[in-house]
Amino acid sequence: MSNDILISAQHLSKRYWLYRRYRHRLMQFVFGGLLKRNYAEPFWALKDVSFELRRGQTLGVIGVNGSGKSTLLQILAGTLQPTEGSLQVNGRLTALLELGTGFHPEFTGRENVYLSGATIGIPEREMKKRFDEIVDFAGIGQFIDQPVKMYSSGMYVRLAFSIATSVDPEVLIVDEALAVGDAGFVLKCMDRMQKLREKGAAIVLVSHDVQTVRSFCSEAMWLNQGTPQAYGGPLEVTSEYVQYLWGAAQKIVDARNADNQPDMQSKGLVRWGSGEFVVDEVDVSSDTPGAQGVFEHGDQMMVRITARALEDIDTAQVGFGIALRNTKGLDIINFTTLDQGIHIPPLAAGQRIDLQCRFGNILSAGHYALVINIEDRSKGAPVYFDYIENAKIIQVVSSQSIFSAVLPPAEISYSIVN
Amino acid sequence: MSETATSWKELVNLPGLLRNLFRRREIIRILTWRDFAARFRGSAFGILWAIIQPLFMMVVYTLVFSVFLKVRFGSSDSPYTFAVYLLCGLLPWNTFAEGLSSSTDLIRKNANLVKRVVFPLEVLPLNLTLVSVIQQLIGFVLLLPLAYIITGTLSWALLFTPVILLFQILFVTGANWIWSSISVFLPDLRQATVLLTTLLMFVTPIFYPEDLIPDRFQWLINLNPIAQLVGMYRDVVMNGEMPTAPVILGTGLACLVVFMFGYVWFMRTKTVFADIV
Repeated sequence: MSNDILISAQHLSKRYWLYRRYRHRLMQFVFGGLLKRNYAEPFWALKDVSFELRRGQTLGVIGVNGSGKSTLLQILAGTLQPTEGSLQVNGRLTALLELGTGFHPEFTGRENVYLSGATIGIPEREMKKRFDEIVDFAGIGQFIDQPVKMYSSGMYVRLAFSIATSVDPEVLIVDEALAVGDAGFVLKCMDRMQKLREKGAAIVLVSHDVQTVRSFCSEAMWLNQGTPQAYGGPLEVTSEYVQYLWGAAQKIVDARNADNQPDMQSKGLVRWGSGEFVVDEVDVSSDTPGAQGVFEHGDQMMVRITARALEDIDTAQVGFGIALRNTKGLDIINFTTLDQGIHIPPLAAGQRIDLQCRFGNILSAGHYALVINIEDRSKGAPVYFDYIENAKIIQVVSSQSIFSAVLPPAEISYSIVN
Repeated sequence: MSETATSWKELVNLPGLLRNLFRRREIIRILTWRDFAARFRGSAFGILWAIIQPLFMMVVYTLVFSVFLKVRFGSSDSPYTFAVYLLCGLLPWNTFAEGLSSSTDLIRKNANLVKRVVFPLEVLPLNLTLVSVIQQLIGFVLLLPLAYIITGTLSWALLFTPVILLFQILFVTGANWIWSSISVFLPDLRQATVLLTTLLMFVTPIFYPEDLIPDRFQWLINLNPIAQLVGMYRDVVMNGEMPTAPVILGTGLACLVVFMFGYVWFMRTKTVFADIV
């Protein structure tokens, strides 16, 4: 059923010419191939993006800043022309690109509602019927008769979102616009988009939040330097993305060996210690396969550490520490082998130890840094052989709402007492 | 949805052009009315300024040229004839000059319409024309009583004014399309336009009688659509006679060509505005 396909993008690419002078651009544009000299440097903001989106599907686009997400959305919305490739959009399209969309700052909110309607192609009398609903959803009250330049950025985006979603779009494009809304409004928006989707609209949204893409989208695309790095199911794509984000830290841990003192302050990784007993490898996994770097709340998790003694070590007072620290720097979970009563036998130089720690993931959704250390308590205060501040960054996602830092599994029972 | 670049073949597709603009009539109506009102919003006299300004201009020019300088003009012995002559030229000239100078930052000023929505940008230069034309019309309405007092009669030829106005709208809109588009690529136009309009004003007989121009420079007038438009306005308002058929046909054709060329030029270039603005 090809008429189910609302967006069909084939090999979309966008090339910008970077000119040193404005007049070069005009000369190139007017005379084109007649010029002997090429004044411009090509820059590919987007390279060979293809996908199809059907009724009811939602595509989440992720990627670091400058990866081409906004360029792609602008092309989809029709404000930018692709240099190569073709795009077919079937049905009414509305878009929220960056902040505020095409409002006229001097016009009042009311006038902008009608102007936006006219831009989309909806006559005034039809907008009149939807007007109350639009203002009501946006929740901007009497500000509707103020010029929109007086609006806060939140009001601006609320009105824009309300208009874009109140006109029965079949294709909705949303570019991180929701980032400025408060939590309550974002929930309302999600609810509204969910309803549009049930009615058969296709939605493309950009989000920095892996959790949003996982919970809301049916497909995901990861763009890196304009090139689609991964496309497919949200879980797989976002996992790859998160893994990439923290890949740099990973490599440094892997590369460390005895002869090669690590550089201590590398990106994202802080590592120090006396170095007689060092961590070679760290791995975090869970019983859900395929989810690298991203873990579901409630999963069984396993941290695996491979370490190596470079000298003979008397291990009577030596142990490993494993902590998961949240973005505010608070250790939410902290295990130490010594406190758990696990004693490691003495190690000879060159011997390796493989340590595994299993635990239920009781963390709430968010990012966590894995902190690994090898400590020696024989001298009173702990001394560290090796201490790795951000050995791994993991993300925890959760399908249920968790209102605390952790949520341990609980059995709740009751009996009625007369 | 995605528009392909307008081909140069569209140059001869007048129905297509008109259909596109007709489709946008709602946006044009909202924007024109709103822009016009916005000029006076916030001022105590509000929309009255739309009348005060041309009235003031008329009084000042009449006083200066007719009362103080007593410029005599042509065969007429009334010193006020020159004031009418001047205003017949100045009102349409202002529409043209204002259009050109506003065109230079039109697209940049509306960057959010370029980048954030699929907006029919071609209506913006047309709006410029229409807003100025509204003001020009107010001026004309005020001018007519003055012309009646001075010439003693108003001719049926005045009924031809809408046709001249249409020609003028075609010409000015075409010029605005071209100018606003080039300005995107060449921000320098903003500065250059000040000089250009000054220069153009003096090669167009606005402030001086047309017959002052030596014959060997007459072609400058013949090839200058604004001069022709101004001449037609003067014909109907001051002389009470219809412009001659060659003038009507020639000017009308020239205006139409500028209009359609401007449209295609604008439509061809607007696809890259978002890359630049």
